[in-house]
Amino acid sequence: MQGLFLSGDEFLKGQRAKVLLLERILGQVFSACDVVVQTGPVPFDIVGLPEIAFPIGFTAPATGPALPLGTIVGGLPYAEDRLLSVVGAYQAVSDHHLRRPADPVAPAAAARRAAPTLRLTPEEALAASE
Amino acid sequence: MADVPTPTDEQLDVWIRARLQIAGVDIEQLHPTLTDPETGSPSQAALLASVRTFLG
Repeated sequence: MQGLFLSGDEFLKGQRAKVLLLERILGQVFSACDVVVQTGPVPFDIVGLPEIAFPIGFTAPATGPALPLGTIVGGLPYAEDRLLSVVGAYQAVSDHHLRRPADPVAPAAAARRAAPTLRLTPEEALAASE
Repeated sequence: MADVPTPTDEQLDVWIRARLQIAGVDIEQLHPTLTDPETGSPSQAALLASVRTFLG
């Protein structure tokens, strides 16, 4: 739907910007490192570079259940084996990927049956108030 | 040259509906405000908001 509102020259300009971004990532970013830790899939997914997502821990809220946290690591073209090796090494010394939250506790059948009636007849209300 | 005023949401909606109509897309097939729970089809309002965000 959104593509209907993109003109041809805008599309071509976007394609050229993608190539420029890819050149900068490959030439500048990866000249200094092997993989890149990211907070989101953009822009590696836009330029077609491989990424891998994996859990790195859990939140520590004041109330409510702890929720899983993850991150994304991106790599060079066709370097999926390197990404898998990096995450494999991380998971060999951590256990976030093995932890599961406790199943939520369902109320007992007796407790469900004993739940208060939501509507009282006038007679029931009078009897309850006596 | 004077700055071009930013179009309002209502003006954008008129243009979006016209452009879709030219392309043969009739968004009147969608419910005005409710998402279809069975098919997941968006409402007209949600579709227009999505395209407005894209254009912005």
